Amino acid sequence: MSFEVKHLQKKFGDKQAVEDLSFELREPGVYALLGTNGAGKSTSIRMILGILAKDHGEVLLNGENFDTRKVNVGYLAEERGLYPKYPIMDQLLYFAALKGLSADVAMERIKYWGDRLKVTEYLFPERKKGKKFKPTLADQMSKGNQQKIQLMAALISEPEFLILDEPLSGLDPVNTDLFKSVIREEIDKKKYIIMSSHQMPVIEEFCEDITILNRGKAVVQGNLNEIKKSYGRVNLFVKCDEDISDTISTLGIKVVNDTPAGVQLKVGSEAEAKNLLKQLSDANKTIVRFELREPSLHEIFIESVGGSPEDNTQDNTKNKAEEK
Amino acid sequence: MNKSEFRGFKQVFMFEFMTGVKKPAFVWFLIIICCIAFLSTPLMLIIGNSQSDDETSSDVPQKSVIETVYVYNETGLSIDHNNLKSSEKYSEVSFVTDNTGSYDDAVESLKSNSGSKDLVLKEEYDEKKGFEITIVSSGKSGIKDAAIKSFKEDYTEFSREETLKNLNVSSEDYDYMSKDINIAIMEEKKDGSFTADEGSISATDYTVLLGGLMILFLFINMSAGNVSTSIATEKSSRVIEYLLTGTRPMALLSGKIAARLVETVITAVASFSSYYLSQVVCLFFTVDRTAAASSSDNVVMVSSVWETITLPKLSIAIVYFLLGLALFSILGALAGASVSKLDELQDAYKLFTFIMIFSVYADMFLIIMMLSANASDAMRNFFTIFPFTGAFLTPALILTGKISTLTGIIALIVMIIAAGLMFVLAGAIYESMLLFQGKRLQIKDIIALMKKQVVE
Repeated sequence: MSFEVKHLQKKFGDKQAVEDLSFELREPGVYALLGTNGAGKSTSIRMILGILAKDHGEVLLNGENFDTRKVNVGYLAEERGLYPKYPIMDQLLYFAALKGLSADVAMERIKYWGDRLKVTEYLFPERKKGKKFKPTLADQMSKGNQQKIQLMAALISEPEFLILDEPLSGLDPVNTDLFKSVIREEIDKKKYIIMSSHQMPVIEEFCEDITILNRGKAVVQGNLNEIKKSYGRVNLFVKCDEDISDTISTLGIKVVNDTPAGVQLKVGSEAEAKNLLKQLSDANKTIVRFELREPSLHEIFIESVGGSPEDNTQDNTKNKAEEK
Repeated sequence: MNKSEFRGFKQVFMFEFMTGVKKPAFVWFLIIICCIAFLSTPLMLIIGNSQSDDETSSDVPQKSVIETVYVYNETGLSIDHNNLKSSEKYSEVSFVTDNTGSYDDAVESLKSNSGSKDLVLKEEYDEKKGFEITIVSSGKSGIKDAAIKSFKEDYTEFSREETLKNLNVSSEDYDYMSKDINIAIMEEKKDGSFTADEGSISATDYTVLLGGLMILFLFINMSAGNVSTSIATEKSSRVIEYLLTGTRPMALLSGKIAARLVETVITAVASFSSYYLSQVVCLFFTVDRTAAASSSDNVVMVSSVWETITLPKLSIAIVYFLLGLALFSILGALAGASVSKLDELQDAYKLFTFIMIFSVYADMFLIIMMLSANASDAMRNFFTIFPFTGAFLTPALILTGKISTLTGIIALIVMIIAAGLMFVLAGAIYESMLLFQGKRLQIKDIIALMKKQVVE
């Protein structure tokens, strides 16, 4: 199976929300869409799913138009929601019916996922003797539990294709681990997954291929390991007992961060790092730590989108307002 | 719009219908409307019976509490009040006709005698006004209003008989002369046939048309309100995004509307069944009672309206009603889709409410004009055929026979076209409005969406 997104474009008024986005999934696994708020991740996902019209481009599955009416797709939206005043069991059965499941099969899967995600007590509340049975309504559940119900809705049809838009946002550490274990299971089942997230460690944990979007444009794209390699080992972390600032400034190396735990430097090449090591050694400095490594995804992300995350957030808030 | 656009229709319909009928608001509404329908006939019977009892009691020869009636006959006719005394009811009443004082003196005298059971009566004749009878009682009279009212009715009858005697006209001749004269204006139609003018309506028709208008307004308003609230809820809770991966907007829209239509049909059938059952029960219990004949007039009054109903008329009216309901539900859906939050819905609903209220007022105006026989054919036909006004009134006009079956069919065709166009139009802008999460869309924004049609 091959899944291709080709030259996707979307404009809201004068703002280019997505500009010429293309990527491909040839094998099962997780593809990551990264970007700051308003970068165009959710818009791209909505266009992929066909719930938002594309200005240009195509989404193909095995060379044919990707149609959610024909392909079993599970979707966990960023803007999560349930009917607040309806029983959650009724809602899940409805969502399952929309995916073509019979009531019996849906009930079986609801039982499984209820157990797996630890929400059985809400799905099958105890019937108290002498009291009228009251099913649990969505607005009677915590936000985290509502999120679990929505993950159930996304997985209930056992989709071959899964789209997770910020799946872990707003979850506590326990539920984050629970969600991660479910995602891992889906990966093991050889599912095709597209995931968007702000949480770089999560992306590094699950994804092999990524696209970083900035203001609708793909600024970094490809295999994560290769991207990291392409940046080279330029991140240097040094900790000495003595002050080494003179040596660093003499060699003209850029200081990224200077903390009591050590100095984070950006070198031009591995040779430059070796030269610094030699200088420190010659000067009889006591080297506690000297680590040369590839940039983290977080660092690549920050470098790609430019400026601090805060700056981007502000900028993108403005963009989002324009979009509205 | 192909078949796949309606994928998920059945599931949406079932969910909307099941959650709709489970809502306490729907259950209570159904119970209340069925109770009203069931109790309407007994209530009319009770009211009818109480009136009938009053009339019956006046026929019973109970003696009147009136002691003396001072009569001032200024008509010039010879009236023998002993004829009134011949009835047992007034046998002990004194009719004083040879009064020495004036009428004004007698009235003054009555004022000073509080608690007296006397009356002063003056009969006059004016060439322009006709016969005028004035009955005066004391402010603190010992005679109850019911007794005076009864005396008034008896005296009117007595006075008429005495007048006829004076003119040597028998009561049979009088009855004959008093018969109504009904005039029908026949107009030649294009096919050469003559048909009577249908412009005016009776008081009964007026009641039925107005009642029908109010009932349809209630159903249409409820249905459209439910559709718009449902859509606004899906938007504000963001559940719409999930739904759109399993179904299409047209399926969502049509599923919701169909669910509301079925709910309305259930309510209408249940309430009509309650009403019919009520009629059967009441007729069964009143069949042997003397009061039944008069009190069941209320039952007959409405029942007579049904006599004009034929199967084709009923079919056209039902289909027309459902299409009208669908038309306004689509408008309600657009109002719901134009907002992002539930609390903005009331604001978005203003235009929709205005269209609905304006249409209902226009229909009421037509009914009043028809009652006063001032409604022209063109006006009636326009209100009947124009979908917004027709939605509330045309079914009742068809059923009561106030418009011809042909006009009904034309109105139905126009309604089908209007509802179809509205559905296609709504489909064109519904999807983009569904995912819109900004401030409430204004009419100009919606028109822009229609022109741009950003939907695939």
